[in-house]
Amino acid sequence: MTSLDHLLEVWQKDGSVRKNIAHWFTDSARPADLVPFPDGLHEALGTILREQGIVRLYRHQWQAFELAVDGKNLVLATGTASGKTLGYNLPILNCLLGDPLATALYIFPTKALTHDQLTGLQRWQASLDRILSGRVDRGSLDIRPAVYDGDTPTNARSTIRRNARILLTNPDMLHTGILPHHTSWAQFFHNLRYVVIDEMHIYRGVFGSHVANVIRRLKRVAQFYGSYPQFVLTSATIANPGELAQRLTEEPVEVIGEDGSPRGLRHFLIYNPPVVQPQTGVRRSSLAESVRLSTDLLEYGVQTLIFARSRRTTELALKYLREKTGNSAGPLHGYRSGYLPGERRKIEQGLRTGTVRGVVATNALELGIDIGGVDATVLIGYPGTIAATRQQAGRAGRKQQSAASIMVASANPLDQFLVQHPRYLLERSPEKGLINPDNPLILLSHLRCAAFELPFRVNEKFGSLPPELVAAYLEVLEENQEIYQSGDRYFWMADKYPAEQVSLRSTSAETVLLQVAQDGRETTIGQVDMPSAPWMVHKNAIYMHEGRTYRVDELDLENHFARLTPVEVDYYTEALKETDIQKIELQREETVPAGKKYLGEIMVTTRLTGFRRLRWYTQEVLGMEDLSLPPSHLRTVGYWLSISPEAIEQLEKLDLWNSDENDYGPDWNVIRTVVRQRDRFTCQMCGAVEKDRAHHVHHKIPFRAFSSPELANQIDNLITLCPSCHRQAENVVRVRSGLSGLKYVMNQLAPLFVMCDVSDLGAAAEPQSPLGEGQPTVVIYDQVPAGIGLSESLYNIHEELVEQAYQLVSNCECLDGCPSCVGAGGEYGAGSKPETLALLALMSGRKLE
Amino acid sequence: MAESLSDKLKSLGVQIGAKQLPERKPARPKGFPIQEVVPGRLVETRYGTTYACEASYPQGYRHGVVTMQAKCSMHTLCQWGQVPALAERDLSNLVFLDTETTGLAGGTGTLAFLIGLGYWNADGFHLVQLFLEEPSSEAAMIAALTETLSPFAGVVTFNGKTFDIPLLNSRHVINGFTPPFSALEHIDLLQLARRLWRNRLPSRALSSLEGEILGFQRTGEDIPGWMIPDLYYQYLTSRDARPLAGVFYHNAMDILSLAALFNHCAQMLEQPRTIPDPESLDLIAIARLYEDLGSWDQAVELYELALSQGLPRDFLVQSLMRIATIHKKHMQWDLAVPIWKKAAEYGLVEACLELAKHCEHRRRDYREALRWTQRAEECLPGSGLGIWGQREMVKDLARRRNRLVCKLERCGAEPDSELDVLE
Repeated sequence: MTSLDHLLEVWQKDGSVRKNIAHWFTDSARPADLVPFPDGLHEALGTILREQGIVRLYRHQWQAFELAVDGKNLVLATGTASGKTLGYNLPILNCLLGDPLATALYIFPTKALTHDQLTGLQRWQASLDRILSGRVDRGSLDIRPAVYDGDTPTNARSTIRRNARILLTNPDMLHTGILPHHTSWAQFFHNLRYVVIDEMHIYRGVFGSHVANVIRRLKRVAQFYGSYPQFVLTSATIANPGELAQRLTEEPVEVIGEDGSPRGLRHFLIYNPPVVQPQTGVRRSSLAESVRLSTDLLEYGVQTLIFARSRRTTELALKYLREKTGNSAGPLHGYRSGYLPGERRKIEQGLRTGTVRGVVATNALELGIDIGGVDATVLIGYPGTIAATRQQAGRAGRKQQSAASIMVASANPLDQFLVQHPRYLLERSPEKGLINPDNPLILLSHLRCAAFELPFRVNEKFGSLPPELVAAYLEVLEENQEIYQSGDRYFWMADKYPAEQVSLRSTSAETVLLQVAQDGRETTIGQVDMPSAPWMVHKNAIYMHEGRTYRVDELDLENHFARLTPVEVDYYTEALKETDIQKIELQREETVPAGKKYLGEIMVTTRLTGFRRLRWYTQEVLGMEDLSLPPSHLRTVGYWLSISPEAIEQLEKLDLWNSDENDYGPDWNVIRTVVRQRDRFTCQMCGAVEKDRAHHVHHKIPFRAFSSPELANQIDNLITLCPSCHRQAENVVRVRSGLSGLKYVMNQLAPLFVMCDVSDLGAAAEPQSPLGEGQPTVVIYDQVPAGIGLSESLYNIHEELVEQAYQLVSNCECLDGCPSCVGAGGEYGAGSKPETLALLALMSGRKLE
Repeated sequence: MAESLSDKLKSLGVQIGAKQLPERKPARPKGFPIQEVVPGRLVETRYGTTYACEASYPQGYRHGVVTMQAKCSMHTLCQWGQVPALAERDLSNLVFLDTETTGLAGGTGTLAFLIGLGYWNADGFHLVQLFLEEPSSEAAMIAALTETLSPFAGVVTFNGKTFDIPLLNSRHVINGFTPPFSALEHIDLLQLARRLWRNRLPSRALSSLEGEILGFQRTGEDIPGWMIPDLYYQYLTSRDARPLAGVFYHNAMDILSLAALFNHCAQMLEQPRTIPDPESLDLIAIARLYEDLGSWDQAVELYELALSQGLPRDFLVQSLMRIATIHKKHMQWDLAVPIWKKAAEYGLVEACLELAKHCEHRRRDYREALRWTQRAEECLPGSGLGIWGQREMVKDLARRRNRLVCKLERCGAEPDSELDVLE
């Protein structure tokens, strides 16, 4: 038994740990699925493999080789550490050895990964040199791999352009450094046979849509030089690898999904910190619990990798671990992208050799950099996507030894949802990588770049974009005096370098820079796009970044910056927005249980009226301030659902309100009488005068929104209503609350299905919405102008989304709503759990009891 | 589409047809074609025709203060430019080249719409300017360019290594031609200008050199470089070639200045003493260049000439040290020592140090060596060396001093406590 096995036994027996382990899954060991080397494999490559102890290939590697040799495009979507790199290196090296002129382009999402892969290729080159020295025709045997990115020194660049046969780069360099200067790469493109796109699942959302267009430009340039390269992609496990690969490359792509690599016994634990405050549903911090579990692991000598979501959490976790373990666990290190490359190499090496026993890392260590495998991984909170969870967890495991992964859930609704529904983490991923390369803003930028690269011919296509649409965009560029039509071609004429003005990670060049005064200088800590700036970084807003809290001192929209100061406060701010949504064009609609669902183009106008300060966890309102800022407009795609009048009626009939009069404070009876007297015993809505029974007295702002009965029962907040009007008024509140809770939970859960951040989606609830034909409506929309495909996907999976939302809320342990289910806010700052649950029940086709 | 793409993009926040863009003239009126504005002829190629404007300047033409020469000795200049193959050739084997383009950023989206070529032939200095009347006929222009370049062995440019030649290479590739420039030697005078005038002139831009070195003043017809790319676009949309006259003039003057500058620089490097009223700073720049080429004697001569004319203090001291270093390289101590002493008078730490080394290792005069070491230590604070340099030097001098004291004690002599009066 290994020390890990010992510890796992101990945990099982230790009550204080065991009761918080929500799930314990064990995946049995799996042998390798091996096949002999393919026939077409160059003997030198075979020799090198055998020297490394490899005498057969995993089946998926063999499949990749065969498909590649057969001229097909393919995507390797097998798990972490399954040998995908060999899967694409073998056929490509094979090709280069057989053809002295052939070249290949490898695209990686990060510089670190690029350099890691370069080392691997250089080893191949060294082995080839050794085996084939003394051979006469050495020409084809030089593969000359080289990295070409922003760090490549100027004096090395022209040599690389002339000589490199495998070029390693990243999308940004391809976009600004290579494609706009393609004539310097004429030979390289002329002989381009393969393009490798590694970690394809990263290319989703806005970034993916940009990269898809960069690929279109790449293909266009390659075609100019007569090449039609094959595409080989690798991906983490997502729901739609084939679809995403096809959208990125606009080519038919074969999917290799069966993993033939061996695996030892794997434990996967989901640990849910216990609730410490039942009213609010607050749990013990996931950081504290993760540190506790990691300390155990490290003290047992288990090599452990801890993943944190932010840099600040990384530093905190490292600090606490060092304090708790002292020196007994050996050296512990942090790891994140801010560290120098030399430091990171040392830590990676230390992990491989085993001298480094513990590392706390951000997701910088998630991507394929080779660290061997550790014995255990601990995930502080759900990493944000299932793919990332599997990649991080997948770092645990060395060949045939047993390994363990523990995900410690945080209070986020998604985390709690996954605690209830762990199958999403283990079975088929529901996550789809979505892109929209034809988003007009993104497309326009890239057509501009493409026009700079090569003149467009009249009637030319662009990727799969038909000539008529290309022509419409070219007309816009002409109107902007950027291109000029001469003969049958459009020439670039502006004295500008378009690629420089296009960021691959946003849709507009317009951002607001966030600046903090540090050491006497202004440092930019991040940026926010213009439309979001007013409500995210208005004056006196509390802004969180990388786990740190700041207060905004000034927002200057005209000059595109905001000044922030770091603060330590116990509250956060919430902007009070008035969101007005206009329908521009309805695209689809359908009747669903309890209402209808719609998809279409909308214009979202957001006006800030003020903001509130809310204390953490208790949501106590500490204060409110007015704001006056110009409204911002967002034209995008949205998905909305309306609640039918029948459903509203059913809601009304339910006795949800716990309106026991004793709960309204000791003086309630007196106050009631005073109010009825003031209102002359007349219903203020329908005018009915009291007959046999006293009318009701209704709180305009619900009682539970206040922190004390005195505040709630102020005369101005009270109004006399007859019973039926009272019921109606309550129902309005009910509906508002339910809508608000519905909006919250759907917004929080949606990212699980469309692989985005919560902030990539906007949500609004309107009790009488023109979009929903006058009915109460919840709208969810893409925060990206012109949409990026998220809303559309949500429209399609509406039923599943509603079902999962119902499950989440009904299983939540809180009393009346909490941030882990319907949000602690509600309409008036009060919980809305029963109302939301009722709505969800109806929407998912259930009956109300 | 009910809504135009343009409107949709505008509602997404895109600026189209911004206010600051000049108003577009109506499409293709009969306007003022280039033929009426700048006289020239159509050149026939296999790929179509291109427009060429030509002019000739006689031998001995004065451009500013420089007389343009068909013959000049460019031996040293070619040595500096690392193009020895051209050294013995005739000036008529070189072509002077400058382009006007649609943008200054480079990349495949930039076109050269005017390519100026100048060369010496029997008639004098001949200037050919190829003009791109219509972007779609670029292939013809490139073909004409290749044709025109074929007889030459070398090309001379100003900043051509980073701009013009890569651009023209790119245009060749885009049009499907093989670029001819790899077969031509290339001299980029900007590189030389930087060597020669880095210290004396505020700018090494061609326009600045024109005024300062060539003494040439352009007429009001000239258009500043940054305005040029936009003028071509205006021409294309309006077909009014009149504003382009200034661009042709600008390009022609660029080429003339380039050729005149070439003559001047060739002479400066070949026979610096024949330049009337040479600037001392120029002389030492040339001397430095001579050092790189291994012409030590000539270098020393020039340094001495510059010194005799007078130099600002820093350059003076620097020049003294360079002369001394040359002598040191050739082991001519009796020539080096007096110069070091002179430099030491200016408080130069390095000079004192050299003298200390010389006294210690070659003359074995430890007392003298110690005196020079102490002098060096005294001069250190005012020396202008940075913190790290000073720190290292302090350590080094202290070591040296201690070593010398030991050596003196072993010889039985007392180290002096006062500094002798320096000779």
